[in-house]
Amino acid sequence: MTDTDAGNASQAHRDVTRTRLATPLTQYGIVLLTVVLVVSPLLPILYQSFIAQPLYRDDLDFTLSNYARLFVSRAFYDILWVTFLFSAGIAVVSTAMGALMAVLTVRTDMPGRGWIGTIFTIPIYTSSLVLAFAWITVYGPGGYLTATWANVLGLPAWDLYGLWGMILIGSTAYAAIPYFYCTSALTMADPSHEQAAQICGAGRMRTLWRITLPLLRPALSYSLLINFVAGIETLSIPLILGEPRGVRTFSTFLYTEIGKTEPQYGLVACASMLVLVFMALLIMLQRRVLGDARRFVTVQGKAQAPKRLRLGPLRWPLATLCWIWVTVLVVLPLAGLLARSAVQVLTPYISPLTVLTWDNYVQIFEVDTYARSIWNSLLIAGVGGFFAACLSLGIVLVAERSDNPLRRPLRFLSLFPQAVPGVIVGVGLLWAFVLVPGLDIFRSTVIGLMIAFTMRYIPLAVGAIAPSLGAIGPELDRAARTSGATWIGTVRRILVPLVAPGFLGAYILLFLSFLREYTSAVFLYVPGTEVIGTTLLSLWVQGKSGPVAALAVIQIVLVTAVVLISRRLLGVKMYG
Amino acid sequence: MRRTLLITCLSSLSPVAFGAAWAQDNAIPDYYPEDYDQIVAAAAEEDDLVVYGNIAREAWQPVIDHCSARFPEMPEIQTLDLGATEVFERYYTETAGGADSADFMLSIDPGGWLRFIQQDGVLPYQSPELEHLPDWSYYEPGLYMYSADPTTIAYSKVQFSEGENPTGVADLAAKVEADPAAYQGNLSTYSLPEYLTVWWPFINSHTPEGGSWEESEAWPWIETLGPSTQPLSSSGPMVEGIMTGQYAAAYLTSSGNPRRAVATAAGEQLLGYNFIDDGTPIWLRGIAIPQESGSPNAAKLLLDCILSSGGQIAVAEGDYTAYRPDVAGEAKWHLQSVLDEVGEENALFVSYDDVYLDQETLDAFVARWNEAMGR
Repeated sequence: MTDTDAGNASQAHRDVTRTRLATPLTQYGIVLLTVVLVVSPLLPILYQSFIAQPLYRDDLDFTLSNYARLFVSRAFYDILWVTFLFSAGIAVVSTAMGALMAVLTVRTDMPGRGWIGTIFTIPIYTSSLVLAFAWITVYGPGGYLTATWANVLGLPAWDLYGLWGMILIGSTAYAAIPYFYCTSALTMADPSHEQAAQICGAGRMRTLWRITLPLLRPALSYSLLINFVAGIETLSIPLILGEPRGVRTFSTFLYTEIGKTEPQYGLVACASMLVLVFMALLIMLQRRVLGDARRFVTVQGKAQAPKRLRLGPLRWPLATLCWIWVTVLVVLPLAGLLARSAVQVLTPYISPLTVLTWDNYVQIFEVDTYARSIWNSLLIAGVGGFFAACLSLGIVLVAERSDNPLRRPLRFLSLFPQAVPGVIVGVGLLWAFVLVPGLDIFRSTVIGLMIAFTMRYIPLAVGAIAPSLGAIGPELDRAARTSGATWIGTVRRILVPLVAPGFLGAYILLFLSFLREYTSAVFLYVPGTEVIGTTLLSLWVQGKSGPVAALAVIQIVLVTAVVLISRRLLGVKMYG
Repeated sequence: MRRTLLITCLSSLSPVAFGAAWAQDNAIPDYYPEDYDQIVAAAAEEDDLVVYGNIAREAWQPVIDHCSARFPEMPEIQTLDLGATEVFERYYTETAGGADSADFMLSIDPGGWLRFIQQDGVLPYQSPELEHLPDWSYYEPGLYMYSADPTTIAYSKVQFSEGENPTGVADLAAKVEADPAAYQGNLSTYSLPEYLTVWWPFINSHTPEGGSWEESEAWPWIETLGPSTQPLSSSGPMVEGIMTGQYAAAYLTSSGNPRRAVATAAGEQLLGYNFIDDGTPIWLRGIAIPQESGSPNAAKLLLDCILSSGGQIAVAEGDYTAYRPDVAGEAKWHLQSVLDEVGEENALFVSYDDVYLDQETLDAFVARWNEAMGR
């Protein structure tokens, strides 16, 4: 054996070792990355909840007094109660709205149902922050219609601010979720059930009540839970509509407490821990409900177009009511926002045509801090969204298609961020970046925000990829493995090409979510890493509603462009 | 300095020479220390200058443009618009962990600054511009003022016809008393505890000789105005609300936003404002270099530049109020014209007083105010 041969042999041995190690290294790498990502915002909060001083001090004392003080604090119970009312209100109203609209558009012959349904779901594509601004522009205390109504016509005005306004806007913002669940449940359910009922002599309403609605039960209960959770974690609506009237939810409590002089970090951390536990319980309940859902969905029959319920003489009155409904809740506010972005002031006292201006848009693009927030958002959505999609794909592959012993904990971990409100992610990561030496580099660049957003939306992406991977028969992997391919080889050659459309869908979902995300960014951004949402909030606080409207319109245009392009060119359908 | 500039440019006939002389003369005036060019040279080597403050980027822009032109060596200036107290809280959190934080700070909160000085947060620095500034604008060891901004009453021209507009808090209270039905929830003002700096001097200015703030003659006015008032923590929404018809007037509000509003065609038709004839609190907006500043030399350039004549003119371009005496005729907005209009006796300078550290008194004051407001 010559020296070269020996060299080749040891080289070959190294190659074999490397390939043998590649699989576990990749798998455990993905597990470790997920653990770090999910746990790093939570540890500092847990830690802070047990120490008396702000966690950045040197002289720290272990204590349980934070929890003790929280439990006897009257204000905390008030906040919990308001949060409950708000979230329950959103859950009930939005689910009722979504279900009713779904029944009308899917199961009846109401004219214009396609358009009505589309307009009804627009708010899910704009952020709730933008929707809140739009509503205030039109229906707020100084809103165009309010002012016309009260000051010009002299009629008693309504007050959009406060709990009821918050519930109404929140429900409008989240009604698309129950709508999508109910539409898909209604489309899949076998219409022969309804026909059978009618043959047995049941009237239209009775059929609706006894057959159609019970079939919607899983969709309804799932929507109730999802929107209840959304109500707990939403920041924009309570911040913009609740704070001026002293209506404070958990999210706004966290937001204002940390912004004030000598914040009570211990209390903030304890309250966060309690909410985390509560949210985790809710999410577990949600899983059980979803598990049940399969039982109902299997009621699908032959491919057969459902026969629509004939509304008869009610057709046009109902259609008119629905048009008024979507016009008042969705079209007018968005039209008001668009109008506000193009004038100096929107008021019934002077004709908007005399004060037309491009200044609001010019200001957004000329002031570099504002313009930069648009580029940053696009960068975070484009690049950060891609990495998040890759990580999610890795998670799904390890969790669903490997024999890694940690695959079940990994699946649980990847869904856990659903239980973590955005404000907590922001505060937790801020503390982590500041406390751990060397991590500050993440905070001074957009990478920190990418990490926060990825943590927030991993469950969404995992949820989008998992079904398309599930659709690929496991015998394909087995065939590859039997032919001698490693796990990595199988993944690369078989699974990834087949799951590509699901991956693309997840990427687009992440792109849209990242473009609109701001709750986890409000504590985390520094000069240079502003995003659209943080700029919107900061402009709003200064009362610059013109530039706010202009930037909101820009965000809507960007989101719409992405949605249309992905639908037309790539055939990817978002939601439902 | 202006005069030397004039002579310099007359003596140099070619435009190129004029430009060069201008830049040189403006960059380092002769009353600056000999070694000032070392600060300039060191600044050129430093990272971006990060400013934490509570004013908007547009207001900073003229100052940044002016100072970057005067010192081309200045690194890029980044601004972050935060709440007045958040400026300090963020700095404390960040520096405690050794993270990057503000290189330069601006805040309107005297309590925040006093605590910051107590904790040795301010980098000691003697600006060469100090001799050109009023005594009240400097606090040891390095706290200076950006601007001296008067408060105002802003009102809707739709609601108040010419000559009928409110001139002061007492005047507005009298109008409300005369016609309560016309004022239902359509007044606004700054809220407490955020804006102690407005309310403390105003209430105290109406305290009888030798009495305490509890006996102030202003309380009955607040009690009259309270039920119609929605206090807010920012003046931008007050001004916008006046223009859209939500509010008839906002008392003890800022001057910056009304100034910007009336500069537009819509604002000119819809909104008016004036100083407050029974007491105009004047804010002093503090600026200083923090000890942990990562770009201390660039921060010194910015500080000196803001305090210079040119810097003060730029401050006024951003609709804040210049106070340096030698630019009284030139700055777009200047403290002198405020004093001329309201009279020295009605100008209530918001001093950096220890009362802003006395939490017990402040809590009692806020409680009394809430009671008067009917909150």
